[in-house]
Amino acid sequence: MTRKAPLAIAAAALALGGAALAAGAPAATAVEVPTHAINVCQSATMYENYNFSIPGPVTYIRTLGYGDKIGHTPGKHPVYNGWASIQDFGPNDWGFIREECIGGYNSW
Amino acid sequence: MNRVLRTTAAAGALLVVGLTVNAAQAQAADGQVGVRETVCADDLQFRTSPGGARAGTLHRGETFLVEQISGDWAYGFAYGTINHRGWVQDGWFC
Repeated sequence: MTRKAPLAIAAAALALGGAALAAGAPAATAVEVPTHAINVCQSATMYENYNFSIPGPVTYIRTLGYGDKIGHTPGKHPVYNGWASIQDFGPNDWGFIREECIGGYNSW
Repeated sequence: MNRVLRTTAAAGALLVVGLTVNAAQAQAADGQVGVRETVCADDLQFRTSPGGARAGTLHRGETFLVEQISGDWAYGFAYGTINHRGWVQDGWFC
């Protein structure tokens, strides 16, 4: 074994350890990208969840402006009492906005 | 001497990584049917079907009553800010 071999083995083991550590975080399950759309309201409030015990949206996230890029697949992503599950392609997170604020499908 | 030091340092780093991995793994476990489990992930997506559309997000400390396990997915009732039945990826409970 050469002099550098122990270090090479250690580096490889560290890399494996890092991969295992990454696996300890919530797994990113491959999910189909929703249909591209935009917010067509002047402003649309985005909430994190829809609470069925109220019922209504809860946990304010942000306010979207007209033209903000979002994703929503009609017939696939749920709509509860007019509140639609959408992906905000700005920060790439998920939430609920009013269904009537979704438009411009496949416009971008 | 340098060789010994570098090898020792690498071994030490490996030990630290190993401990961290074990700690992360020890915090998350599979759910059990009939048990109201506590979520151990920062963000656990709540879905309409296994691997399906996102319908909400559960956070660490919120609870989920497991009613069925199907492969890598758990079906049940999400408490907290959802209060509805759906699916989450199994393996992220305390």
